[in-house]
Amino acid sequence: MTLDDSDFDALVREHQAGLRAWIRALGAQDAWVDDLAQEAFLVAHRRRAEFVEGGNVGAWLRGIARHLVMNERRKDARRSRLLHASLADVLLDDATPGPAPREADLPLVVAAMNECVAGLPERSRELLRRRYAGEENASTLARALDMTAQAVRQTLVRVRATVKACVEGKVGEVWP
Amino acid sequence: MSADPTRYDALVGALHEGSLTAAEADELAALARAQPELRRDLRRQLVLWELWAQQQAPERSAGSFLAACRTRLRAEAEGEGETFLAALHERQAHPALTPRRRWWTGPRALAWAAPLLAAAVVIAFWIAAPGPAQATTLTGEAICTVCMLQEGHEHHPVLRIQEGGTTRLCYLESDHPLHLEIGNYCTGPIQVDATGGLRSEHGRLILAVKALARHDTTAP
Repeated sequence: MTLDDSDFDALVREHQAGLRAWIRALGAQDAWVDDLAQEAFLVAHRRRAEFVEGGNVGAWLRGIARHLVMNERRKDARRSRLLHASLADVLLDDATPGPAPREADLPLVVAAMNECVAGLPERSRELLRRRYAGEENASTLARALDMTAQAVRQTLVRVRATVKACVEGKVGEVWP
Repeated sequence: MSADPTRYDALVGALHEGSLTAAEADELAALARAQPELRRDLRRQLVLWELWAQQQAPERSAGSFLAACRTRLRAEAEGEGETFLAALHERQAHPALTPRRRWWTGPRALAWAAPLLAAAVVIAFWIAAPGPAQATTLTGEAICTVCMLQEGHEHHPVLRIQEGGTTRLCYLESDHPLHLEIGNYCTGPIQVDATGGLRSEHGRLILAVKALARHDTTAP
């Protein structure tokens, strides 16, 4: 595969969201997801000659990412960018770089997620937005929203479950 | 689920909050290993909230991610540049190793080759150009690439088509500004019929729109 700068940009633009989600689902800590995904794209760029023209680019990238995460698993726990070893093992064992998550279906999941969040009460939307936009923790959110930290945690659990069920209802079995 | 769902939810909640202890992680791992449906639920949750996080945090946007990739790629390339320079210095120190320039790689050869190549490209495109596609009418919801799909930076309409329990996306393109015909598809889905030439590019369905009709003309 020839891959000039514009091709590389297009490759990253098309696959970045799905690849990052895939890496997170392999057991990467949220703070290290982007780092690992960038490494995967750099490896892909370096090894572009090995890619078979007409092959599944997404599956190829996921294979590279899985390899990186498996290497990460072999590191000392203190230096690892993964979740706790037992959890990372379960997630890694369960993942194959094959067709899932399918790139074509990812926009459907994202659109469904946005619609489901838009349907939440304002306070729940605010909670979700602030939790992820500024990475405010339960204690900070509790102070800002006049709730207890425990109530924030419980509300987040409930809201996440509601959104996930709503997304599943909208997209069915198209996501892994 | 045969596990206590409340306990599972609490453990996953702690995982999302980054407060899962090693013992709790082992507990969650044991539950997930024993039950495939919990494993799938856990994977879906990680995917879903990762996608949400990418949208919410500006520093995690697609643009920021691409910029970071480019920076790292450039850093690698500069490393390669240093290697190249080192090799060049090596050749200058040992001229016998410098490869002889071949006649077809020099600037004169390029001056000859460039117009010939350009003509060949034009002819190839002319031969390969497809005939006019047959008009197809698709019915679905117009949604925005940026606002709904989080793709790229330019707001374009995509038709979301539900058919026989499956959903497909078809990207709309037109010579005219489609937002004038569809309405504000950034604020929510708008039901439309779109007619035009349908084609597939890189696995994407694309409709070159010739005519467009909204179902509900009171929509924004």
